[in-house]
Amino acid sequence: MPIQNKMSVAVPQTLTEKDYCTAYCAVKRFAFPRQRRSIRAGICLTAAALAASTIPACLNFYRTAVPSAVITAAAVILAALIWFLQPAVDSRRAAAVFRSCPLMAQPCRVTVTRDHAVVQSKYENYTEYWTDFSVCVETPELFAAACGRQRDMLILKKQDLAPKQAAAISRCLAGAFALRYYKTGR
Amino acid sequence: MEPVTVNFAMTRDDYMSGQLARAKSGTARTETIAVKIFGIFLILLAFLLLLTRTTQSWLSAVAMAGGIFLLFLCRPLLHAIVRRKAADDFEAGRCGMPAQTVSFDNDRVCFRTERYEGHIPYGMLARAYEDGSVFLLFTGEDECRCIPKRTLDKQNQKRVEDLLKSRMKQKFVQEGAHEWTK
Repeated sequence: MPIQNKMSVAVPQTLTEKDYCTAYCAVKRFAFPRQRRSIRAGICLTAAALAASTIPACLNFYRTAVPSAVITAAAVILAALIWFLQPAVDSRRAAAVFRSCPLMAQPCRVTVTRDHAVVQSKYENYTEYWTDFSVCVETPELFAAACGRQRDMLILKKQDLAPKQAAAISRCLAGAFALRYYKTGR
Repeated sequence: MEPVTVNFAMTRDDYMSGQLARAKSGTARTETIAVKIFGIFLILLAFLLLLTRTTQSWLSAVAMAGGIFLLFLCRPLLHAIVRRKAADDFEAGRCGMPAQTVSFDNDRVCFRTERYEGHIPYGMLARAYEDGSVFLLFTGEDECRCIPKRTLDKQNQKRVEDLLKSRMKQKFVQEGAHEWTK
């Protein structure tokens, strides 16, 4: 179905800390793929494997495997720490960012059109063009466009949208962002 | 009282000063002091190693180089990197809205650009920062607006400072503006 030229969907919404954390984590996953915990933990495990492979040589030359074993153990522990702690660290960081900006928690009205979004609240009124953002992620709960000019993230909650509206916005954003549009949690 | 209103377009120098101020405002004083203490410790260690006439004189040289770097070169180098990145961002057009009008009212600050209009009470600002060349108004931890001081005359600068001091109290930090730039 072709995208309508005059699509315009207006939604009132109020963001919560949980919404922001969900959007932050989803966007970070796609905007900074090298910072994913699987990649970081993988790098540490590779280093651990390399260090472990030097144990026989270490035994042969120095009659002790302690240096290689220590490096191997440290890399494995680091991988485990990254795997288990990174989600919590990311969420805490997102919560801190959200709490530091009371403007984000204000009730607002977001109007989405094919080219841009207009956000209106009691204190602010701004327009963001889709071309200003670097990436857009759709999750089962929300749409999040990242690295905007006015605000780092533009979030649109699906719970405030009718299914038809959500589908129309999804098509519109997929067209506007093309290869920079990601859909998760299907 | 009449609000203080400025209308300006961001220049390359303004943007670089703003980014530098932002980096400085994000650095905790304790971090700076810790780096200096560690630098002094390394220099003392270098002298101690020299005095004890250790055979590993390279260790003393490394400690001395590290100490000098931390004490005298680390900060200027970081500032140079920030300024260089800011210049690159400005030239690539990644500096946000270049022209804006900012109005400091008694109870709120108003921003107006081509695509943004905000009337934000001082209490909703996360913090404010002033150095020798700019005022930074943080609407959140990750977002701030920069007002170059060149756009304000002395009298209006004083009025803005007084407004921010009285409305934001401890959330307004003045760095270096009175010690070495004036």
